[in-house]
Amino acid sequence: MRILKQILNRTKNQWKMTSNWWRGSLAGLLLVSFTAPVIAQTPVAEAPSSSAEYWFNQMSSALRELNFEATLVKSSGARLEPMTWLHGVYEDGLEVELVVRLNGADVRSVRIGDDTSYYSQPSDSSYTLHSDVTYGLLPAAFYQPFENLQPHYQVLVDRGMRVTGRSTYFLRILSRDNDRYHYGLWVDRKSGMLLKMQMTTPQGEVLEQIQLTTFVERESMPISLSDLRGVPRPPRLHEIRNMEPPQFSLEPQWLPAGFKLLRASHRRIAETRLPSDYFLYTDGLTEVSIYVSQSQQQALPELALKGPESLFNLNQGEFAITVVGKLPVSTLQRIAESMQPAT
Amino acid sequence: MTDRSYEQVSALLDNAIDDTREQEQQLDTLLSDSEAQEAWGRYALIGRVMKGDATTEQPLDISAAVAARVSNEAQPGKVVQGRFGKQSIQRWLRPTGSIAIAASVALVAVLSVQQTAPVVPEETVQPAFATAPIGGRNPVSYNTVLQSNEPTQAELAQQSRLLQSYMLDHQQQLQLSLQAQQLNENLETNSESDKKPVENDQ
Repeated sequence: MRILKQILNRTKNQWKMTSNWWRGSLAGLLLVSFTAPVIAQTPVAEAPSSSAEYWFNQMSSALRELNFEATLVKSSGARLEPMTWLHGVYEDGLEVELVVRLNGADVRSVRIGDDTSYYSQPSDSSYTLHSDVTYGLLPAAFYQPFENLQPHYQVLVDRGMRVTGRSTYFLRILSRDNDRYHYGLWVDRKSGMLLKMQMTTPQGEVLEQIQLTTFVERESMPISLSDLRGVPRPPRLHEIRNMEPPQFSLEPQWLPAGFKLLRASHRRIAETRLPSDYFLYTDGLTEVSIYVSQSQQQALPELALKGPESLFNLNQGEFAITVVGKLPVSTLQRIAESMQPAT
Repeated sequence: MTDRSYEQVSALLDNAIDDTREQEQQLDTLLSDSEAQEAWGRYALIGRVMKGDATTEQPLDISAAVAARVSNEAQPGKVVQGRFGKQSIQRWLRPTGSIAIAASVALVAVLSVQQTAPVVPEETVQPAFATAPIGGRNPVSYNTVLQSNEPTQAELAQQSRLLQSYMLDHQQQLQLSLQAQQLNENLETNSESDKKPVENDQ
């Protein structure tokens, strides 16, 4: 405890020194601020909605095209996850991305073009997927033009605060209803790079955040990525082609506008092997899974788990309906309650 | 508690009280004062974190433990086939999910611990939010979730395992769906997408 106090005192002293320095350079800062805003403000001033899309699209191409080295912290609830994030483009246009988790088990993902490999220890748990987006960092929709999210989401732009030492634009991605989560994005004015992200409830409660703590843009591919091309890739995951169709003939009669069916099958769910009808829906930004199984076999009470990833379980006659996804619990509940025999 | 008594707890923890009589007296205070005991717990945890040995002993992050338990209990899956033969595929598919799920698992646990305090049994909330930790570390709070008959330890363990498996399966399916999207194998890109329009009332 005494050590803590000492550290505190030391920080106070440092702060005093910093503020002195800051006062000294205030004159210089004022000079800069007279000239800079004139250039920086123009895209916002002209046409708010279209410039919001413009900056969203700048971000999605920055995520594909920039050579950068970054560190970041991802927070979900009370959990903090620091990571290193490197990205580059080879001379022939091939993209390479490396994400390393810095706490706990050494988990890395390497994406080269359309193949993403997830390495972990022991190495026999590593695998490769055919995908041009690294799973687990950002929603896949952030890598695509905003028009894919219309008309169910809208994007607004505003002047952003300073993030990671840089000036930003603040983009808000809002759903047209209050049935899904909203996103706040802070995008670097200079490079278009995403520097901070917040996923919030429609009421503004923050559920998940990403904050870049360092960001360095490079002229060419970061050196540590240049030899990744030859790295051995773990085996590729393949799915069974002929999936069984759903058996219990219950289907959702309500979903928020814009959700489309991606997958439907009857199978055993991971680990517990519970036989279930499975449906996966997406609105382009978020996904929701619906499981239908026999109540007798499942034996869960009616319950809801609330978090970035929420779960709602409902018993309806002989069936148990479980809905999982990054959506408000009230939405999951409404989906679950809408399950009806297919007509 | 006053600042002074916090200081005493801290000093006690650091073994910084030379006088044995005073130390005994402090211990007595600690044992009789629940607030002081909480402070002790917090300070002890802070101390361990600073020394860097909290992560191994303290269940601050149970995701790895849960994932390991879930995968130990798992039976062989047949979701995925690969060119390396079924067995080897299963060997690395299983931990795959555990890794992918790690974040959500921890999250659920944390959330439920935070919720235990404000959720006073309230019959009006239907259905109630789950307040039970998935790891089952504090089964008492499950009372607020379930109506009348309290589940046994074994039932709780089974339920938490099932909840984990839904979270895990969801994550696995999202990854597989990314791949299917790339390969144009999802329903959306097939003609089947028009088969079943979903009604929207908004």
